Amino acid sequence: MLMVTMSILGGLSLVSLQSIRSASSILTQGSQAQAQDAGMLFTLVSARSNASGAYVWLFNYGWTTGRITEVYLNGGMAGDWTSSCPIINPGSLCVVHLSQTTGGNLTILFGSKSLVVSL
Amino acid sequence: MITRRAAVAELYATLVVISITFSMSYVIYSELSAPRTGDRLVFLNRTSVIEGPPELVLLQVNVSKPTTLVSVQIDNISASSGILALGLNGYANSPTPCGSGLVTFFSVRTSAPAQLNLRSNGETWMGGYWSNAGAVGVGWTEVMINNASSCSVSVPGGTISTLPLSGTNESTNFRLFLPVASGTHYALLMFTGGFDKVAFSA
Repeated sequence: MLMVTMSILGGLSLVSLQSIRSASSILTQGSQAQAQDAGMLFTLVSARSNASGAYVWLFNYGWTTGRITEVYLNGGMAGDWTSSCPIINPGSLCVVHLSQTTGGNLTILFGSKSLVVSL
Repeated sequence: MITRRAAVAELYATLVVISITFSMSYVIYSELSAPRTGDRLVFLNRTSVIEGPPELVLLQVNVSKPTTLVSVQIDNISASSGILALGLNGYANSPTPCGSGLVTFFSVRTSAPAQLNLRSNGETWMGGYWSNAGAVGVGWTEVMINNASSCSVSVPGGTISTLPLSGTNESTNFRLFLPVASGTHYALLMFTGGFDKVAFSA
């Protein structure tokens, strides 16, 4: 009987633990996404234009890495932009270059975050 | 006799332990069971403001299960009643794909890659770019026409849809570019199986 009782207890414990793991995973995913968004903090250091194009210096002063997902110039996608860093680490600078030199509003998207620069 | 009494006592004790175990396990399991959404759709919305002019909001919706966007309503103006447009007095329906002082936004739908040509006396935006012509892939390509009194939309083999949608319309990810004016606005997105209400502002 003791063996039967221990088997039932063990089985139920496994089911309960699995349940805890599932709930914990959902909570972790949600909180990690929130933390990721909250930790992406970018600021504009400088923006310059010359004959070779426009340059924007960004600084990541947050605590999570970020990645430039899209760049828009005056509401339209800028197809010819390049970045000096595919991933912007916390505490590091990144330069975004556009071949277009015309003035306008540049919007740089980092996932759900954005930064607007007037060139 | 003593052996039989001991066996009965052990049986009763075991039964008591089992019943206590079942009761406690039921209480714990019922409290800690994983959240389940069942057949309901769960939406995760992300909005990003894109400076213009015109100022745009990129609305990205992730849905828990593949679904289809059926209708879009912005500030109680429904795309089911006509092409959506943003003017000085806010959102409205436009009977034509363009209008003076309006930013109209809709999409073209193609079942095969095609050439999209937009002719107007205003500004034209297609698939994210300020352009008046280009190749479009299979699916939905969003179009905006800014401040044009006359226009024509040509996409061989395609149709115009009043839903301002990019990509595919049976998916878990949806992207909508919406022109936006000052103040807070509300978009009501009707999907098969649920709806999503999103507040956005410039």
